[in-house]
Amino acid sequence: MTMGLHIDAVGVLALAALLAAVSLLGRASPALRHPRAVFGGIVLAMLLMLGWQLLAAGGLTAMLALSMMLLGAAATPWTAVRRPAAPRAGVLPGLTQVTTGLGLAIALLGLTGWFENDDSAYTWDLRLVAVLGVFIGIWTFAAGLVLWLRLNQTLPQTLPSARQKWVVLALLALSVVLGGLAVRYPATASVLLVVLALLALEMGALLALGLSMRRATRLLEWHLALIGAAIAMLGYVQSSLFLLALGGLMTAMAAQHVRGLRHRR
Amino acid sequence: MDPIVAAYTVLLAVALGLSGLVQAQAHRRGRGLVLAAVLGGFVLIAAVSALSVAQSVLGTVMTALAVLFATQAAVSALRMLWRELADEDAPSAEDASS
Repeated sequence: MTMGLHIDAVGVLALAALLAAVSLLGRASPALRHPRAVFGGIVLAMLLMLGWQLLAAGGLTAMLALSMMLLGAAATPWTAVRRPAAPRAGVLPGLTQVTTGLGLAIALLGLTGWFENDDSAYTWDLRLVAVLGVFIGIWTFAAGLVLWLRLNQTLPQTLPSARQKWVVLALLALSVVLGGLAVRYPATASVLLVVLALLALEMGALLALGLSMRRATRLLEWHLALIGAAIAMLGYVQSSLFLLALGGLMTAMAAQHVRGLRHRR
Repeated sequence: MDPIVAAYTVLLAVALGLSGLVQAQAHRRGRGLVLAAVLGGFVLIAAVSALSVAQSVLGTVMTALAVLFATQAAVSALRMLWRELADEDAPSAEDASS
């Protein structure tokens, strides 16, 4: 419970700042003369929350977190693609990087949730969140990575085949069954979790390979919506209203974008 | 956490997201997605929070790696938004000639 309290203590301020920033930046308001100041507000909200978290953690943990953050920021590639496959790829190269990183982080947090808790205090809802986190995270990671490699022309440009769709659907059905078994029978779940992770990897790669690049943005939109759902589930585990609200908001924004595209067709 | 409280919070957030208050305008193709990606970068907060309560060595290693990858995603998303704003400020040569 203390985790959520730590996040939510400043989370309400950060959420208010984020809502205002997203609302201002999403609209072409002529009154908005300094969009970069709004951008600064988003960065400030993130820094405020991080500072609060590091203060609460204190000591060696704060040092470790800070080192990993510096390492992560330094390791971020500054050019999105070397040789873009599509000359006007727009936000696609950046989105593939974001979804790859987010997928890995969500999967690792899901795995931590699974291995950190003992069976006695581990209720079915926490197990379900951990399994879904691992599945969504690895699926998103694989899709983002394969699309990024295709954009870089490291992987060949492939076209979808008719059978591929059915294979992916079969893999999805199998994953649902295995996930259900892992939640229901936690004693045998470790093996099931490994198989589930492999299936998610295969499914993400297959979907991203068997897709024309024109539809790649739409696939990433769905993955962003799934990541939003995973963040909301993390909020449930960490008892954080901030993460719950943020996840719900992110899912709605990504879904809204998909709906907008469909209406324009 | 009380599941009922969690469900109400998520429902309200989704309703807010779908209501149009925080959605990008239709002609700003990609802006809404970039903003959603920026929100996703806040998973870094969850990762740091999980790291601070990790109890085992394995848990610490996994959450530390989660912090690293979440930072990469957050920095990438913020950089995308920065470029998007910079592009808006500086109209392309195509637009200037027309």
